[in-house]
Amino acid sequence: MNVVSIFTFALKRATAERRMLVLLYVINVIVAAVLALAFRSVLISGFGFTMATSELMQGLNFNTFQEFMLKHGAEVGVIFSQIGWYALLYIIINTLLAGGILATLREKETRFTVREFFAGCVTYFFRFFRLFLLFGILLILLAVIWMVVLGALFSAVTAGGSSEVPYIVWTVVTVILFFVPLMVLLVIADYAKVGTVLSNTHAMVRAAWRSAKFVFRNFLKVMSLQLLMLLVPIALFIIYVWLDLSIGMTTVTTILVMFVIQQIFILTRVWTRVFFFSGELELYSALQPRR
Amino acid sequence: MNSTTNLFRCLLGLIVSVGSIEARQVTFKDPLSPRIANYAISVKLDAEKKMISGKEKLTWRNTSKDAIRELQFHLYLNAFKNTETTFMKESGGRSRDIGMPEGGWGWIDVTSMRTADGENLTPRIEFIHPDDDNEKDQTVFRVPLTKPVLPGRTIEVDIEFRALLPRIFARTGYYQNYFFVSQWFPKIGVYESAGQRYATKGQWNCHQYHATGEFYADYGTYDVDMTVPKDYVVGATGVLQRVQDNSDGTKTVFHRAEDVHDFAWTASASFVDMTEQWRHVKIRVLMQPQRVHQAQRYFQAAKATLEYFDKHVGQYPYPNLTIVDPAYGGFGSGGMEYPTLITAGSFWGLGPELKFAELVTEHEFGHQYWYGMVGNNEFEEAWLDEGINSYYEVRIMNETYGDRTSVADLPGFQIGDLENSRMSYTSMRNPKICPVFTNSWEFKQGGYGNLVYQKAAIFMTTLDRLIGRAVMDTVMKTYFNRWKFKHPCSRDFIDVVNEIVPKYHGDRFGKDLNWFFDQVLYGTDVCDYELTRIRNIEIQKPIGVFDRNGKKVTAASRRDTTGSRLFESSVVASRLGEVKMPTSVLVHFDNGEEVWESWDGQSRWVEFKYRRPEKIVWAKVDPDTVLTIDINWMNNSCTTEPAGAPIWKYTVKFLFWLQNILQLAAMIG
Repeated sequence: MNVVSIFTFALKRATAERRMLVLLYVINVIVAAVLALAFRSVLISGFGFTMATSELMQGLNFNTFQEFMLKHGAEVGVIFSQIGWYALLYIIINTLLAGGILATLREKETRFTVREFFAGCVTYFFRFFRLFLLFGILLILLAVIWMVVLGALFSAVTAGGSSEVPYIVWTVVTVILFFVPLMVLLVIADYAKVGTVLSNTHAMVRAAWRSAKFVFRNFLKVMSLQLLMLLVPIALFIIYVWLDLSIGMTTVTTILVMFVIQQIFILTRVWTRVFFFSGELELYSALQPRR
Repeated sequence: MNSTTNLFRCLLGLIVSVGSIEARQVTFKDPLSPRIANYAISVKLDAEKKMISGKEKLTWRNTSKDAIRELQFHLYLNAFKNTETTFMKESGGRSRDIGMPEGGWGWIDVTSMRTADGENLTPRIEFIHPDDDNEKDQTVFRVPLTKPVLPGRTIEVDIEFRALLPRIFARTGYYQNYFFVSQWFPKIGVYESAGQRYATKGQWNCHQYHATGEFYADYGTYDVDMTVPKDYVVGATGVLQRVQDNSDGTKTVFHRAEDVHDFAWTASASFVDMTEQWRHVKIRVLMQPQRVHQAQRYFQAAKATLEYFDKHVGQYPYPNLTIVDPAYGGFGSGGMEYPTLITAGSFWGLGPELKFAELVTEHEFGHQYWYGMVGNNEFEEAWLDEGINSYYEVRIMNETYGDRTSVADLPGFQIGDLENSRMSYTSMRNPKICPVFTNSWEFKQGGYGNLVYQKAAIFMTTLDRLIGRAVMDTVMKTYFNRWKFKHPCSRDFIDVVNEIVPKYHGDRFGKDLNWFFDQVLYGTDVCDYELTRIRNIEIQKPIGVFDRNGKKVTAASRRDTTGSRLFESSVVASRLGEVKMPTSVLVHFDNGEEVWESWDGQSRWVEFKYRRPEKIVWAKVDPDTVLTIDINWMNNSCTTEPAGAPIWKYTVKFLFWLQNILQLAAMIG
């Protein structure tokens, strides 16, 4: 199978798992809704019976926003400070869910059931959790090394400059140079999970090592597929931004319409996760036959 | 030396001097100002050593009735001499969030000082510290005179000086081949006679260089020639007279400025020189090469501002304006005003959505009026230039670029200049920290910018909305025409307000508006009006036993069988702050009818009662947002039917972005 046929297959495969997608979407909504409702309470108590809220319908009225933040910034700060913890919780939840997703995708002929999905989750959770810790450490190491190296490079290039242009160009270059290895690392982490599910290994360091070897041996194919698949969420995001700018949220109706569009977009983001796993699973199976 | 040679030299000297007089263009046939302090300066820049050396002839006229027995001078560059100067102690080596570069010291020495009679004043130079006890500060000196300068007489002083320019972080200095030279020459203070501003007796007003606040000087003429490397482009206060190429790889640029109170110049090998014309004014922009594409923004902002001031305040009399785009690394020189020359600020890649370049151009140009032509004492009453100028900045920016978009116009995020000013004041942790009317260097606990610029701008906007734009324009035109090329104080401005406003409004605001300035300029209290409560109580039929025509009648039902309903409704508005302003309350009923109520704003609270078939739906205190000085607009309104949609809108937005963040995090899981 070539990269394009794997891409096409993954599109169909991910889309076919509608019940799993709904389940994953519902989990996303539940986790996010808790904090969103707390945010809503702050808004309600903060604005009370003022008419200043009507100023917010046409856009973010700076006066109203600033005065609200002056009075209720502390409460909003508490809500925002929780986002990091929520993200961590969601990472752990997704470490759990990844097992279910991959187990479901592996069994092409079997019909999706919630029970078997969660059975897959439980089967791989502790193995994936170890992978998460391993790659978490690698991620931190990468960030530290890269920041030191790129920081030194950045300072050397921009020191004593006579124009801000090199400064801006090198900022962009530095960010790109950070994201490329980050992406490779995340791809290796994904293939380590895929390899674990396909070979049912319990040795996670070895799984990670094997995954790294797989990625680098098939670098062109792996990254081609990754970049090709990445085009889909980018296209979806562009469509969303276009819709948001075209429709806006200035009336009750448009708020409702945009809410529906936003939730469809979130569903596509959930689908993207399944889509990536599906493609990676297929490529891994094609290039590294199961032992 | 023989007599023929001497004669030849005399003739040559005569030809040269006549030539230079002929070459000198007079800008104003009749002087616009009293021309008290007049300078002729020759300065040479050593671009390698970052030093300047100069010869200065000061011609100073005593316009007071006092015999002047000493002169006082500023040596501003000594503010950068070491860690012990008043400026460095106050600022901690930071100015507008830019830190002093390591080793970037600067200083100035007077190497010689003589009167025209040849009397050597140099040994008598004595540093003084009129504002603090800092004996290490060398930014002001006095020099006693053996022969006093009598009233109406003039003294000529020849001064030689040399200076090391600091690395730019606060207005002046150098960065690589960019030189911005301001506050650079020995400059005489202002002698204030008894009765001038707040002086009770004749005295010098000559303050040290401080971390906050700016300057004060007398008007005069400046004939300045600047010798710089040949490939440098020079921009300076005043009008270019001529350029002379020298044999040593340098050139000398001659400038003359009339009826100004300061002189600044810049030189750089990198400047891209661009010019455009607005009526009689030649606008010159000296751009950094990487930002040439931003130059039009400066031109457009400058033209819009010239147009606005010309229409609403008075004519800009000078024939030119130079806008300097500071070098990267020299941003500390940006956003500063000098007569006929301003420094702005732009950044490569920064689009017109963020209107910093426009805002700073507008603001610094506005200073040509408030500081340049109306020459208040910036050390002592900075609000008269910064506050009034910021008020005009709000007006011009909002009228040119939109009320809600004049500072930032990004998708989903917009800020207008009035909002920006209000935020700066209302977000202060303690807006009562200091009155606006405070010596600039005495804002010891901060708040100089928030109060002197922004609070003043918003109380001026409040005044504008109270008395009306047309009356405000009359006030400002009168103030400008009466005080241009003079040194007014706050009292002089208030006197103009008190003279003009009653002519148009009678006693609507009382016999004068001192009450206004007492609160917002001299006081520290805050203004905060609140719409506290709306109440609608349906008037019901009484029930119980009643005596009617000698009989006991029992009424059991409160329901009115006629079907008509009547409400006893009320609105309570409160004054939470100590500042008292006249205002109004708008009450809206459920049939769409609206009632305007006037309130003098004096009492702690006021209640308006109604007995009508309609219920009150909402009410607003200060419905036209006249009181921009009110620190909280959110509590100015109240409704019985709060709109749920905006709350849902932002809840939905928050939910969506949170869901996205979670999905992004899921990539790691």
